[in-house]
Amino acid sequence: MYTQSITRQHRTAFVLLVDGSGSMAEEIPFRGIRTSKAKAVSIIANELLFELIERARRTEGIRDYYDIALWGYSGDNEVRSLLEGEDEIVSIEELAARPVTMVRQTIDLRLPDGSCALREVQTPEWIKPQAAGQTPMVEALRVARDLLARWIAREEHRFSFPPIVFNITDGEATDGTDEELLSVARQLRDLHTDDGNVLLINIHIGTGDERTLFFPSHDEPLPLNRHAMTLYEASSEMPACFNEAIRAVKGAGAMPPFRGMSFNASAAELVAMLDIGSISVKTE
Amino acid sequence: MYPTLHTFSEALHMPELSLRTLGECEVMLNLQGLPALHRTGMTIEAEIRFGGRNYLLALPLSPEAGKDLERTIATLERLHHRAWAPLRLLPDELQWQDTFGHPVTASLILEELPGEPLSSVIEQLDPQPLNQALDQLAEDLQTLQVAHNNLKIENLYWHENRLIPIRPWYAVPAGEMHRDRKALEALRQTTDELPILSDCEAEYEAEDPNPLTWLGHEFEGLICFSTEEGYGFMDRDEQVVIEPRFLWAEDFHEGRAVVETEEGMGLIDRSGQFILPPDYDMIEYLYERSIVRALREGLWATFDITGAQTSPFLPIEEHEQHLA
Repeated sequence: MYTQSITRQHRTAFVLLVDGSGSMAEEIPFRGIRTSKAKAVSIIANELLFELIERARRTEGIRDYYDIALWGYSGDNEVRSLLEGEDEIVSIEELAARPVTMVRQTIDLRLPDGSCALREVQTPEWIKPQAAGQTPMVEALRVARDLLARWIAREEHRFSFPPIVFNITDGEATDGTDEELLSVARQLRDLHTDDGNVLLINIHIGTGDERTLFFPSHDEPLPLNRHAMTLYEASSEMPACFNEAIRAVKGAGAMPPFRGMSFNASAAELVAMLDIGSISVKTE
Repeated sequence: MYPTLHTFSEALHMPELSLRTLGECEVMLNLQGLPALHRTGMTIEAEIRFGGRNYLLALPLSPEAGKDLERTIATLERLHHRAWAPLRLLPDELQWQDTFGHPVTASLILEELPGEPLSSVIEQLDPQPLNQALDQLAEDLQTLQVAHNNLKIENLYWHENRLIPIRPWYAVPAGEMHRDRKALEALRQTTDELPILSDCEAEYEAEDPNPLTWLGHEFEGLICFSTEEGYGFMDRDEQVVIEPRFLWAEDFHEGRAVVETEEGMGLIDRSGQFILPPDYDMIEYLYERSIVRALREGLWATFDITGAQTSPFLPIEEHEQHLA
């Protein structure tokens, strides 16, 4: 299980669910500057898309290794695709072929002598930050469940590495109880290809100044926080193929199995979680 | 943490802060103003200009790829022959901060790009010097006893009437030369029909040194494998016995294997001929009993391994009674 290499014949899917509720306007430290959680998440998500596109690029063009879905949840129980044209899910080839806005991004570099250097670089922006309204997370998970059920039902995906869902949030669901959230999360995780079940990775981002839970092991104490426990239960146990990448960040002493979740994660930990969950999967 | 492609791209935006010795290089950009990246099976690369010369600057895609390439480069450096473009490993060349702000370094590979890419000059070349250059390259590889293993057109440069191979990422000292010989022969055959050289590139693609996406264990002398084209079988000498043309294939038992095609599932023999045509919804091969069960339109029937039907198509309960 979880051994299938990602090829054009055996594609996989990545689904990003991004909380765009009002609380995402809160500022956090991010790469040496203070910016809103929404802005940091959009930068990090755009970097992930860049990474996936470049990993699929060859001389002859983009190889269709992945399908990508990007959904935001916010406002008045609104769950909508963040992709141009509001597509449910697109192939990486299609995403790469679309016109993309280029933006200037400031990078704060720490030099070996301790001084700082600011540089502006050109970078593609597929999704924009958003922060308004509520946190309809249960409905967002339902959307992911339904679109992946359709994706998995297609015969060509039968042997694929199973889809991975990243749910990035900073708060609790406002459209359902914990039980409802856990029930939908379980239905999502129960979906499977012949290579394994869908992986649900819940990333709760915080201000970075409280205790963090990051891909916790079984023996790691959970914070006495109902929301943290709910997210823990809602998340997948990470299969062994991710252990090496997780231990590279957590330290060699960390013992698997690890749970695919974080609580109070910093923006840096969000980057690490997305990298571990996406590019450590074996691609042709 | 190992650098991502995004890390590499970002570093190329500001080489003066991110590259240890090549800080003054110019990086080739694409139309969007981003570093023009080229991904191979082992590396992510960009073209740079440094000290008036053109180079390929490559980051191995993983630490494992980095270790393999380090050995390859050390071997080629020792050969020090003009058949190869100058190639160097630059330890700790890439310097960046990981996501947690820790300073990290990674080694890069620098390869000089001599002359012009063959693909951009081939239509202006006379076949005679090109054929002579192909002869010379074949002779050099033979003399050096190094197999390049990826001699496609985009990996060849034209310089002073010679063909210089680049990207020797799959090179093997004292390795089998047959792939290179085939690639060079294909190039030679097409030089008279320029500019149809892309044909030989397509042919070489099929000879990729790492075409396999999966490789099983040996059963009855045949090993199931898969490529981009599908599932097939090879013998223990890695010679393809049954072309990878199936959507799925199981291992051989008693000279038979279950396969799946666009049309349905079937049973093949060791030559790849269908014993049962691929028009069943499901095939179960009970090889311990030499029985094949086939499902079509909700009804099951049994066959023997010669393909002869031994029971009518029946609902599952009656079929299982018959089978018992």
